[in-house]
Amino acid sequence: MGRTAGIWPYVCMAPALAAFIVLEIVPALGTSIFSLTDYSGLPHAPIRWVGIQNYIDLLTGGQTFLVRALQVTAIFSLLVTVVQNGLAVLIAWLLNSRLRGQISVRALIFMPVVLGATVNGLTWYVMFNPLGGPVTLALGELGIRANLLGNAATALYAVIWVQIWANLGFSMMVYLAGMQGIPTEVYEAGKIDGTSPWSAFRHLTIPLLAPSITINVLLAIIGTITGFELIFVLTDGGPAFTSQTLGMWVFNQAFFSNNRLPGYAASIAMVQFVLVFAIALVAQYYLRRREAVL
Amino acid sequence: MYVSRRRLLGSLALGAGASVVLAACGQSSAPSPAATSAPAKPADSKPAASATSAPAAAAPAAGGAGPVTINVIAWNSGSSAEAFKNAMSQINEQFKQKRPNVTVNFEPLGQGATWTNAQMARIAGQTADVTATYGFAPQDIINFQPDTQFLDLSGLASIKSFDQTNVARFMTWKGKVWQMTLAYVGHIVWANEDMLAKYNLKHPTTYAELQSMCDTLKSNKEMPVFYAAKPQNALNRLASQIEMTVGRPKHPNFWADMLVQGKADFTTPEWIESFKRAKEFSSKYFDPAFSGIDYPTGAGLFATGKYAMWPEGSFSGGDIIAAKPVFQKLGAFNAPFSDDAAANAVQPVYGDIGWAGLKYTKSPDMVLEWIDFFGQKEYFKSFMQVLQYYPTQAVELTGPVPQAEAPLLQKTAVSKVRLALPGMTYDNTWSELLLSDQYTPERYAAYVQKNFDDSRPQWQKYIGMFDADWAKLYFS
Repeated sequence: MGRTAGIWPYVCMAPALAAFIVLEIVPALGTSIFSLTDYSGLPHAPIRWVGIQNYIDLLTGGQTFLVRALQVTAIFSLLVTVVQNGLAVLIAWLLNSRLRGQISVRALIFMPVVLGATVNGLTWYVMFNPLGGPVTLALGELGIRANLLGNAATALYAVIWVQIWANLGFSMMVYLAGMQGIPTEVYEAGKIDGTSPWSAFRHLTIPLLAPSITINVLLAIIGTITGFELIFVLTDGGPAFTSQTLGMWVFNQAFFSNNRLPGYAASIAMVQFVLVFAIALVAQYYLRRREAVL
Repeated sequence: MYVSRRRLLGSLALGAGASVVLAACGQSSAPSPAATSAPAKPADSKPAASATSAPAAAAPAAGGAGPVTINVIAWNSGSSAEAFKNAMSQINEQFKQKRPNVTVNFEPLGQGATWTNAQMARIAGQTADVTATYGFAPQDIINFQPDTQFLDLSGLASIKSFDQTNVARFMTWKGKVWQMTLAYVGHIVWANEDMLAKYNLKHPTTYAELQSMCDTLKSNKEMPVFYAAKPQNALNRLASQIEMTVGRPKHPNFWADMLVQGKADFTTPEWIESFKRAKEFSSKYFDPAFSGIDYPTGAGLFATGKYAMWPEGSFSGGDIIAAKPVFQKLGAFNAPFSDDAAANAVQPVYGDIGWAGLKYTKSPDMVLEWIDFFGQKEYFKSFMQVLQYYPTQAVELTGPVPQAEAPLLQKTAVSKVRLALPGMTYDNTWSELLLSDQYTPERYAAYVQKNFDDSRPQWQKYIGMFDADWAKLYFS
């Protein structure tokens, strides 16, 4: 008969749980309540209960911006999820070796993750400057006149690039950890059967990475649907609202001076929550079914 | 119960790991700080903004002998931020001589959306006693609910020093004065006079003359027009100038009708012509990179002398001078986007920076005294001399900026730039027309009308809030 840990795990988890409830659950509940009011954010201003009026306004009066925000969010989320994860798997596979310098390369790729959205955003804001940013100058040498963040056709894709660049390191580390957890006997057995490195990657590594894929894909989907920090720094949702995702729209509706409507913004946030919940549920169900168990 | 060190350490590690996972889960694709669903303290992330920490709370003493702290917040005014801050320091030092027990903390909080977020955070957290405000457009009145949020300034002695039309227009609501609007601003075209003189060009008075001038400059390989449209909000100056000169003369009561009756037709020939000229002018004569040029760098870039003109706010004059332009003479003219010279002589203007005392302040008497002090002619003039905006008192300002602007104020009318009601889906910047090719002027007019009509349920509740007499005064 072994000893049990008793209540100690719960005691240790309690502070984190309390912080999570206070900083995440309570504000989320607050948002859901505010979405049913005409809350303005001003002290002592009366808060009136409006029921589902904000949602009706969103679906009727705000449909142009809602549809556009959903379209932009879909493109943003899909491209970031697919490209970021595809690149991360490839890089992790290449780094999953005993080559010299691989630790330094890993650190370099991971560095943007620790720098944060503001630093990453400002870095690329300068890089993309149309009057002398390094990227603009480099493209100019190739005969291309670039205004990547100011051009309605390219702004969203420039933001997508920065989002991928900023978060690639995290995905890579998760995949690397997953790859390092795969027993070597699996590859040895494959070698005996005459499996090529590429076949081993496709038919052994990828299926066995399923749990890592699930985590990374879910985080990417959730992060891109709800996030707005990089977009705020790079384009503020412009030009001409071409990079205004749902998250950015919520921010602008809540805080932008001409149209400060926190109650209405809360209703958009609730729609966003339902969307994220539904998509994450479906994605998780599908991905879990594909997880291989050794 | 015995707990081994190993088991304890393991539990601590589990707890720490669980907190990281729970905090990061669902927020971002990487473990970086994430947005929450509640209004968060704003981050000053734009290059021109200054990061500040929260100010100390006002002390509870209401005047008298006890120490009092008044926290004053305003936006960061770009290139002239340092001069603004110095001017504030000087006035606050004078006030301290009068009231030694009072300390006035002034905090500039960024520009644009950064300022707005920071302002709301301070007001919601009740950590500011006085806030700078924009000058009392309908959306300000709706957003700020001045009769519930601001102190009544009607009894201040210095209010009598102000031009009473400006008091009625830019400071008064429901018969009381709610903010001391120090300045109003307009939309004009700044000119590099050295470049114009080089090609013997005079200030244009009609659209044809403006086009001809730009064509001359282009044929001499000069860049006619500078614009910095990032963020796109800066495009509202161009839209304001074109609406005033092309659209307004045909329908002078357009905005009053919208505010009072809720009626507006954006598909009339004059609106379509306005959209057409905006698109045509920006496509032909603007720097092609204009949509990516950072607005806070605008004054500095114009000061490099590479451009002939900059359709912009009068408030940027001080910033241009502060950037030490390479050209000798800075000029200005009213934007001539119409074929009618008389219509082009009307400058769109609107109320700008003012001080409002917040009702929740613990030192209302001292706040009122400070605002009153600021409004006295001597201090008002010293501040306006730094700011170089149009003063709301009859004072004479000196310098190249007031000199250039003075002839342009013969005729003014309130700009459309701050007249959209909260909830109204109307883009003041016309950005989808100017920054993309998805709309022709005609289709854009129909699109604007559709958005106006579809969003009606959200803003209809404000119709009736502004009566015809107020609208007539505001637009007079």
